Amino acid sequence: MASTQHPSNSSKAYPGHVGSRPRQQMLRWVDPRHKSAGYLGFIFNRVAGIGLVLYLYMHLIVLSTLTRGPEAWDGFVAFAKSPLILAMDIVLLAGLLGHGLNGLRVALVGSGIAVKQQRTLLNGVLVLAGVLLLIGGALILVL
Amino acid sequence: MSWTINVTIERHIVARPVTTDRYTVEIEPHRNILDVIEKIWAEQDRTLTFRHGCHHASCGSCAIVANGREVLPCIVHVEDTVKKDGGTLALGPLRNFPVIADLVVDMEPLFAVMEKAGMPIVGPADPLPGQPEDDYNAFENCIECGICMSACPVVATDSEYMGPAGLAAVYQSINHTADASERSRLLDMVDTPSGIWRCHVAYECSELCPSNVDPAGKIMTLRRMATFRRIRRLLGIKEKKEATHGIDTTPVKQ
Amino acid sequence: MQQQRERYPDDSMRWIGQSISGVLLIVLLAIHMIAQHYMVEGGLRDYEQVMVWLRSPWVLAMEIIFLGVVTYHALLGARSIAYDFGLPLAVQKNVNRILLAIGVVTFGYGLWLILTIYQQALQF
Ligand code: SF4
Repeated sequence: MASTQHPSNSSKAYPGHVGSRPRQQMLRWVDPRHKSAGYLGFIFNRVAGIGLVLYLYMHLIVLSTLTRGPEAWDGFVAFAKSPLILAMDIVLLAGLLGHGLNGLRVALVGSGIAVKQQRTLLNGVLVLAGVLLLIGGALILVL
Repeated sequence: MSWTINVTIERHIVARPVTTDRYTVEIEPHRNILDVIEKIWAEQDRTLTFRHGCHHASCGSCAIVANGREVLPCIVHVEDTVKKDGGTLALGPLRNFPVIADLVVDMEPLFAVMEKAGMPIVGPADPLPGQPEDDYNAFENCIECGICMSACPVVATDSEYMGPAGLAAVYQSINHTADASERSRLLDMVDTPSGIWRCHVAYECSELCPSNVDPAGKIMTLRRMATFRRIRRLLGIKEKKEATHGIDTTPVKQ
Repeated sequence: MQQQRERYPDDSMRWIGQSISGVLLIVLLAIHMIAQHYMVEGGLRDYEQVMVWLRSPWVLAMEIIFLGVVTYHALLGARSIAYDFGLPLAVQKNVNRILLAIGVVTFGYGLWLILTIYQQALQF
């Protein structure tokens, strides 16, 4: 038998407390290891959701260049066609599709409407999001 | 043919830092994880603390985390978790519960909610999946093992959340009474931010529940009941004296 | 357990709201994506094309609805994440107030933006 001390936990031993729960770990929900599909969907939706909120504000700020006349806007349009931005657009599209379609599933299941079909719905969401992402992504690159 | 596996166990001992202990165990791959634990206790380390009872998934007292997933070690085979001869088996106590010692946690957070739900522990259960209703009518499915609480992402961050098993218990209680005011009281209890609305539909509880309780499904059904009630109130429709929320309320024969 | 926390009998309404706004967003976003990005060569309208497009009052109305729904959905989602951390009652109330303030500011700014651009489009 060999023994190693936990690097992370070494300072806080559990003093055998009764009736209280261990201190909650705020970022526990984001750990995808050993999780099943539904849980991964939950992580995805939340991470994508946070990303989309940030994007929303970025988008609103960027759109203000429209108020500064044609030069400002057309300058931005030219910038937005750089390969890096196009790649990020594809990530954005993936986030939108995933969050939207999975959100639809969560809305249906979570309102008690399609409780029994949650597995089927999850697979459907994956397939549909994949197909739409392929089409949409290709269009971003072609246009 | 025996396998030689490397077992690591999180050791939680009062007033000592948490450590990970390593053991090498020889065992047939078709044996259960609980056999591994008992073998270590019998042959290598008498200080190891763990809890078990029935050895056949009835008592729910042995639940632990094995290789990252919540399991009942009494019914999970070594070969299904360790996968290969020479592989690793990492064991730890359930998450989201206070640890008493090593693999033993304090189940108080679960029982507290169960009590509020009216402890529907020995009520008649749902029929087993795939079985006609009268063929098998097991006792209450939930064995209070706490696996769902340990696996739930919301319980992990919010200790106020009632948790999957507790909400499923409330569902059972609602389902087994025809008294409209009692049903309404029970629904009030879970129609709260710490109740059904805190759930994020990750379905990990239903995925890992060893007893086919499908807590997530129960939470979703409770939500439908709460939503419909809300809409009815919005439209000014009076509650029927025996509101059934679309659920069969015929009292179950004892 | 939950007595210590603020009781919101309206959480079911929030859920319904989040679901409905989500569905609306799928529809609005699909229109937005196709109209703004997939119908025009190059994937982005240049200034002139934006102005022509925005002149329609229908488009104006749609953009305002879009703005409102997306702000509502986003901030309700943020609230849900914040509440998952088991916040004490006083903090919960503050979260609500802060998010409401952010929502009002966002909508106000967005509305100003849309109307300014609309005016530009009319004069264009
Ligand atoms: S619902 Fe399932 S996982 Fe949760 S305590 Fe009951 S038997 Fe265990």
